[in-house]
Amino acid sequence: MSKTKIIYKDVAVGAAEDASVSASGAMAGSVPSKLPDGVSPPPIITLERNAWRLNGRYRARGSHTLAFWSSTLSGEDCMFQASPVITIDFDQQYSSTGITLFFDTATGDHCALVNVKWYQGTSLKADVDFEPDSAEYFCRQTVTSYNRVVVTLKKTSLPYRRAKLDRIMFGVHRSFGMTEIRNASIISDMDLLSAELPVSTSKWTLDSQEDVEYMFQFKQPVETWNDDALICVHYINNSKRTAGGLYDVSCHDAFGVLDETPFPGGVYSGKSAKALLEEILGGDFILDCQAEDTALTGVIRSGTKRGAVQQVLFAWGVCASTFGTEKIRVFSPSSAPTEIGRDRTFPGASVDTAAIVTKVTVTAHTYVQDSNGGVEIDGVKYKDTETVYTVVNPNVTAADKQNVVEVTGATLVSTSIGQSVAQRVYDYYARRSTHKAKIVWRGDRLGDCVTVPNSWGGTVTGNLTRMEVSLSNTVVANCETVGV
Amino acid sequence: MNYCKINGQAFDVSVSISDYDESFNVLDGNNAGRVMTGRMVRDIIGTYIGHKITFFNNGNVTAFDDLWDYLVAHSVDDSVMLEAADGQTSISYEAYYTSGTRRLKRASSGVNFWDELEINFIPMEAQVTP
Repeated sequence: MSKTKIIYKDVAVGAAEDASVSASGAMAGSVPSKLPDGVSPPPIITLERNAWRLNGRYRARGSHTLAFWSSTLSGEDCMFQASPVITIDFDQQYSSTGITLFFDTATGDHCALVNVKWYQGTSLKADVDFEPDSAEYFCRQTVTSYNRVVVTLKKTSLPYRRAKLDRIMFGVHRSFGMTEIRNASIISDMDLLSAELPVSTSKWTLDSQEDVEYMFQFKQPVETWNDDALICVHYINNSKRTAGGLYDVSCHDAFGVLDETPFPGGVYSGKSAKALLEEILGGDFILDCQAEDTALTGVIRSGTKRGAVQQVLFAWGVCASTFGTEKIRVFSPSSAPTEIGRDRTFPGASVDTAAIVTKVTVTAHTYVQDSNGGVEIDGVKYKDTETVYTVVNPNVTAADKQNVVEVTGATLVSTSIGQSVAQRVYDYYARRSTHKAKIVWRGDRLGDCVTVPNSWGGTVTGNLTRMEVSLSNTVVANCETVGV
Repeated sequence: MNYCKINGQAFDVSVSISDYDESFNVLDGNNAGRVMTGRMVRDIIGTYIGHKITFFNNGNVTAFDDLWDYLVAHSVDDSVMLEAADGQTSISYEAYYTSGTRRLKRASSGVNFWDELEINFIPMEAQVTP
């Protein structure tokens, strides 16, 4: 009996990275700047009244980082003589449905009265007292366009305690089960050749059972899980409210986000492909590189980051996917198959066969600085000298129709790798069979080499290139595998 | 224990019950189906515990009419909160109903004696989920 959930990170995107934290009344050794990212210390031994439980879990403070502990203890009435104040300033303005305070989550110790003020410049937008009743508490207050948050810790839940905070999150994480989600689907594509970098998408309808006004914001992360298996992490692209608690939400993956981010271009000589990818991503997403690095020479013209990543991947000869991970996974497709058995394949599998490719040509580029050159990168002009590499299909018969594949715009394909790239493109197009089957998803990822039963008693082996996932507690996917 | 409390109003006090069924239904999602081996793949959304209650007119004509009027008036609500028997205690859940029928047993001295009102209360949400 499996269970699927969507975790919507209803946070102000970028606020944690932009936050500048200052605090009054902090104990020496507190590092308030850690509050936006948070810390996770174990239960720390203190001599506060009734705080140290002798259960063997408590540890000396030692080198554990504490984000915020107040310098003074609360009194008999749990109030502070001078309440600690934490101020968070932002360079940009943000909107959120509230903030989540993580007090001392390891012990459960928490504050019992907190005041939060939201400002836009000097203008006070909201001033609310909250009475937290747990170590993780969401201060619900929708505020738009704020650039300063002031948190005053007024009262502890027990007398003679310090106020302790592990983290301040500018929003809240919400979990939706399948009783609240309708029509949820994910379409995830991957190109084994990396001649393109498809954007994976997902859409779902939230039929909210909570009395909450949602504020779906662009780029907010949405994780989809089936039991303990992560299906994907996508980012809100747009949303539409169709009734009181009904929201249609559509998302795309990291490549969709990168498609909306400009890249100025660059000129490279013997540049590490992995380093170049990380440079393009610029810390926006984490790279999970499982492929051997290589050196690339050529240019990337100005465009989007997605386009730049595609150029690197194609020249490198690897592929990338965001399916089944919160990172961008770069890898060489596996050739050791795992079996997807008849016990999780639905009837109706089919195989499409593509037309034979008679010839492949790949154009390699050599760029030399030249004031009359036609390629301009960062204000400098370069002359592009093209060299064409060809692989001809030796098995073409007189009956075959001419079908030539040409790759001309791969600007990181230099003459040193031109022929090998042409061979790789040819090898890819030699895999003409696309097998389509509907399976019960059990952690399969794009790029995996799988053996799937066909409808006439045999099996087909190939790499997963597309999954149309229908989300429910049992996850089913219409898969495409490209085989030989 | 209440056998039929609707939105906090206990109707089993004023109206008699002649038939009382408790049932559960397991709902599968669209991804359920049989795979190539013939084995069934379940896609369990949850289990819904509901009640079908038949009321009868045990002489209290006004109370029976009030129940009918109440059910008709609230039939346009998305749901009602039902408290009904479950084992040796009772459970409360959001329920909806979509129809009701009562039979005219007799008319006497200008009074209509309606009888046998059967309502099928269906839970809005699964009480048991994976």
